Amino acid sequence: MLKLLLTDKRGIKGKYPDLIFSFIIFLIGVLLDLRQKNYFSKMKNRINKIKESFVSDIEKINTSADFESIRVKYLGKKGAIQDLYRLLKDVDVAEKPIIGKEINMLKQIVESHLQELKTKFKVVQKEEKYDTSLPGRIPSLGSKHPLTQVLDEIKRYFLRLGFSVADGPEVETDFFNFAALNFPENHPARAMQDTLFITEDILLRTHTSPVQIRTMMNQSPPVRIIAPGRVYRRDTPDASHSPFFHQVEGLFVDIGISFGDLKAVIQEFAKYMFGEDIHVRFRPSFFPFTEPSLEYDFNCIFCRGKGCKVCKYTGWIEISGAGMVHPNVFSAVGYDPEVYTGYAFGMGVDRITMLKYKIDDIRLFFDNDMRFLQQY
Amino acid sequence: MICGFSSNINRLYFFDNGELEEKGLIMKISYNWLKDYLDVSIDPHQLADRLSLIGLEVEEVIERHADFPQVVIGRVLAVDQHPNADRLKVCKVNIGEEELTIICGAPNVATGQTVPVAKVGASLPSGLKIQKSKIRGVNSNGMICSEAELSLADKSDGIWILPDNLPLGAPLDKALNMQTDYIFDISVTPNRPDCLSHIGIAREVGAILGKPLSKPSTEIVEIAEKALDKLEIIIETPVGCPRYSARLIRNVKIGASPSWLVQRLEAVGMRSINNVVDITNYVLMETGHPLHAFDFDLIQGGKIIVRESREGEKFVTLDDKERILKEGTVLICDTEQPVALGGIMGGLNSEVSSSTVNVLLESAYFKPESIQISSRHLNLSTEASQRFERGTDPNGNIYALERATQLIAKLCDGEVYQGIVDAYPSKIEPKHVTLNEVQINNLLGTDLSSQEMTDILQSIGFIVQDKKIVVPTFRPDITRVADLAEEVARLYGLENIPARDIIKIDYNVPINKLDLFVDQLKEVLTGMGIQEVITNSMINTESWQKMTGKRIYPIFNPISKDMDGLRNSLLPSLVQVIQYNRNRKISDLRIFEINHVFIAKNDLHVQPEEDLQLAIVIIGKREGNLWFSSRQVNDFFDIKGLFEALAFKISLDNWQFISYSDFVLEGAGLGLKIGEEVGGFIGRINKKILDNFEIDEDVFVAQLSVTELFKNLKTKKKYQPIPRYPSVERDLAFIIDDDLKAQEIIDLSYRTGGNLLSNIEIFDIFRGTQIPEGKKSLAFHYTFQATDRTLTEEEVNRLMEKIIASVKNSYQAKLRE
Repeated sequence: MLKLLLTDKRGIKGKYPDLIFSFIIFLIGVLLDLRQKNYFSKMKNRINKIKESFVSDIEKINTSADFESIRVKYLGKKGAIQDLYRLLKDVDVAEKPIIGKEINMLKQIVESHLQELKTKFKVVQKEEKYDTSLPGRIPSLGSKHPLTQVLDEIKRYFLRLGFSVADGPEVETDFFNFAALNFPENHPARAMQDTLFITEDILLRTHTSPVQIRTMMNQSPPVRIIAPGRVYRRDTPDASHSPFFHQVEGLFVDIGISFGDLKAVIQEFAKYMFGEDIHVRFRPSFFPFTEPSLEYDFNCIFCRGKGCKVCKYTGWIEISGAGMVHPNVFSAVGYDPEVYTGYAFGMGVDRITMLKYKIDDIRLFFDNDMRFLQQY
Repeated sequence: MICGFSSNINRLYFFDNGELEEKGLIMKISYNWLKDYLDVSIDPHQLADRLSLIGLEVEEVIERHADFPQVVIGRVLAVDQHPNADRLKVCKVNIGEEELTIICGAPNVATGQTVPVAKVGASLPSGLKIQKSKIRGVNSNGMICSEAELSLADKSDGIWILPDNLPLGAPLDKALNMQTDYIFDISVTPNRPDCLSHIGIAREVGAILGKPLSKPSTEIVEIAEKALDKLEIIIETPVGCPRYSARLIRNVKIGASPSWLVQRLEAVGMRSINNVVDITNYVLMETGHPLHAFDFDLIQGGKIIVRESREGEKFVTLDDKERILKEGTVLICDTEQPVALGGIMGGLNSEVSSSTVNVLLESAYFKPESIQISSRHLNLSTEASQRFERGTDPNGNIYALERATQLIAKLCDGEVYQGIVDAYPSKIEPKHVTLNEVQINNLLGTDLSSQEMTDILQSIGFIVQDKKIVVPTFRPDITRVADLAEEVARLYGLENIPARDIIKIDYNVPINKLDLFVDQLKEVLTGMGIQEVITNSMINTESWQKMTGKRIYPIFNPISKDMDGLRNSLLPSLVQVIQYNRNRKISDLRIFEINHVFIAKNDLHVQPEEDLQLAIVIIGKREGNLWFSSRQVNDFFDIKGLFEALAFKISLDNWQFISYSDFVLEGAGLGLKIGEEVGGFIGRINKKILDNFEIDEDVFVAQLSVTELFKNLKTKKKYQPIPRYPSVERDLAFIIDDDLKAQEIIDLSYRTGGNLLSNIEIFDIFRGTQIPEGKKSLAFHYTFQATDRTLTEEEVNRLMEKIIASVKNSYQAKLRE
């Protein structure tokens, strides 16, 4: 093989026409050859020696430390095999592949042997240890306020039925909050103890019903809206009172809207919000802006109507009020009460959230204690 | 007139109270009493449920015991001070055949009283068992009971003092002829004044049970002398008082009421005063019509003049309080002076007392609006005013007058003058409403015949004349077809009306895009790890105004000083949340709120401008105290980064940071120009503000107008092709003045680099060794990119040289080698 290569080489050199020159080249070639030949066998020897010592070395491995030192001795960055590769660069170009191949083979042998032994000795190898019981790197979390979450749920239900979300200011005039809603002039509900006033005529809205008036004044029927928002009452805060809280009112005005429609929407909402087995009870009541007026109760969601402490053993939980829009309200917004009928209903977001999560103190919502909020 | 308990006029009238609350006026109805007017053959608890379902909400049914074994009538013979206890008395009590020593702690015990005595061995309804006992060294053989101890009242101020004519030693229940009763607490809505009485409730019960109502007859034996000869009534203000009727009764014997009357009043929570006053109260509870008894001998000139008060006129009511009147209050006067506040309270000067012999019994009708105004002005609400302001029956006053007269004649041995003196200048006729069954069925979603409807209406006293419905005057709430529909609905049964199966929906449903955007904002912000909070809109005006120098919107009748203004920024509320949580050792926070803020205008008689605001505040360590935390604290670049990320996520268009100063901020701060407006700011909150909340760490804030954000969203996004050719990158560092803003170099680089310079990032900032004082090293990573070819090294080198030269020239920068 070497001969062949040399012949090739000579052949190349032989291309030169000049004889003397050729000779000189020849001489150099011979000298080089000799040197190369020497180096070549040296390398081969070295490879064999390493192979032998490796075979005997691995016999002696008893501990993982032995294993590691043997691994480093042969495969380490300054180990025997890397040494060989470094020496390889001095090997004649023609012989490089041969030696290279030998080194590769040796490396393979060493690696495969060590691989076999690895399972035996490398178990306690110094590698980063994972205590998988440590908590994960949870990114900082944010959640929507529980009232927002419940309002979102309420909105989803009504948007599906084709209601739109309407809004209006929180600081209202007497007209929108009371007069247009058929509250008589000296009605006790206008009394100072209920309403927070800015001036005689300007006040903090006590319900989101003014949004109904604003919407109807800006739009002709059909009207189908929900009005969520903050409302204010002059109540001293305690576990069940807050001077501000959140309502959703609904309004549907069209030709031919009846109490039967109202009943259906409330009943289905109860099931959506609290479960298929929740029933609704309607009781006649009074509100100035509806006629007939009624209140609605849900089956107690805690005892499912059997009777418990929360529902005072009645099986029912009062939710809110509703009714058919009063003809005077239609007149106030310029709708013909002879043509149109409509229903309106209210519900308290705070109250529904309290029921849903069994929260017994409304102030928890507004203290914003992270230990409370981050439960949701 | 009745000076009853001035119960609160409860709120109601809003959909949803936010929480469960009492509504309407609570009327106490005795189940046994109802039996006077009809056959009540239904279990009291069932009746309560049925009443609730027709709109008379029974809030509670209270059982009133009438079975008290071992409780007997006794008389207190002597009361001595307990030798070892200041507050206790040693009483000798005669219970017929025995005399007992009983220790009593009640403040009102006195010699001579007739009292209920629970003997040793008695077991009271509360579960208390009476045993022989020794109290501080003195033996006690029984207990003198209060009504509360017998479960006949919620609370008592002392022992129960009984009429003196009861036989000693007799069992209490037998002596008082007590029967087990059930008291219904009915919440009566303001549209139903007719239900503030037993007859009114009995009428509704009759409709439920299909039983006829029978009112007691009012036959009266009169003497020959005519009332009209003794009394003249002049109504000067028929608007406030359309009717004033009266009876005169002479030789009345004022004294204790019989026990049945006392029992009835006590059952509905009223105290016995004397027989005449008790009768007026009894008839009030029976008929719902307030009456007032005057001592006729104290009425001057034999005249009753009904007039309006003058501004500033003074009058002492029978609770011995001087009232200063506004103009227009209805006054009942004699020829000399006012004797009663019409429809509200009688006067001290004409009160019935133990020495009264001749009685003028008033039964008037006052206009609701007039009483509403007067009662509000006087801040005085009585059993009478509560009924008059809701509307009594102008034609029902005579029945109440006759009923009371009959009882005074019977129980007080009174002699009744002939005739009623009745001033009723213009009769109030019943209203008529035409029954329109189609309209009613449409409104209710029912299919009822007109016969079914009229049957229902007749069952509660309406008179049907073909299609014309005559509305009785005790129902002032019924004026139109919708009102009839309500009567039909509630008595037909709301549960019997079918729910509709289908809903008709239009396709063109308007979409509230701002509301959707707020939802999106909340999703994005929580997704970035920021917690939503919801806080009070009302803040302490003084402290916030002092801190910021900005005027805020005042509340005229605030709940407290801490809630006397409407906030103009969410900031004070959010800082308060930080304080609240830090006081509870939660010190690393990232929170936001989206809510209304109120910008005060100069004229407070117009509504303020309301804006929807978003505020984010952050404080403390970025990663908390967990094992992996680097313990680094939030700084300006965290809030800046949060805003930049938010702007990216919501596709905010047309915005830039601008320089900005505001008292709220200190040190690091930037304004946000969004579109043409300053839409908010970011920065570090002024320490002076934080001091007020005892926060000693940096707090960073972003405050934004949601409406400005909303107006500047990219509506159309165009696809940007992904580069097809490789980019070429270069890193270098400039040494520049410490004051120079990085943005200036970036801007200049872009101007110089042209279209091919696609991106610049800052990857290092360094001050210190090797960098001279007052300088900093900024390291930039430049990316060059062409869309149509691969850039050559030469091209990029040329551009970089240009950039380096311009930065060097403009800012005296040096390249850091």
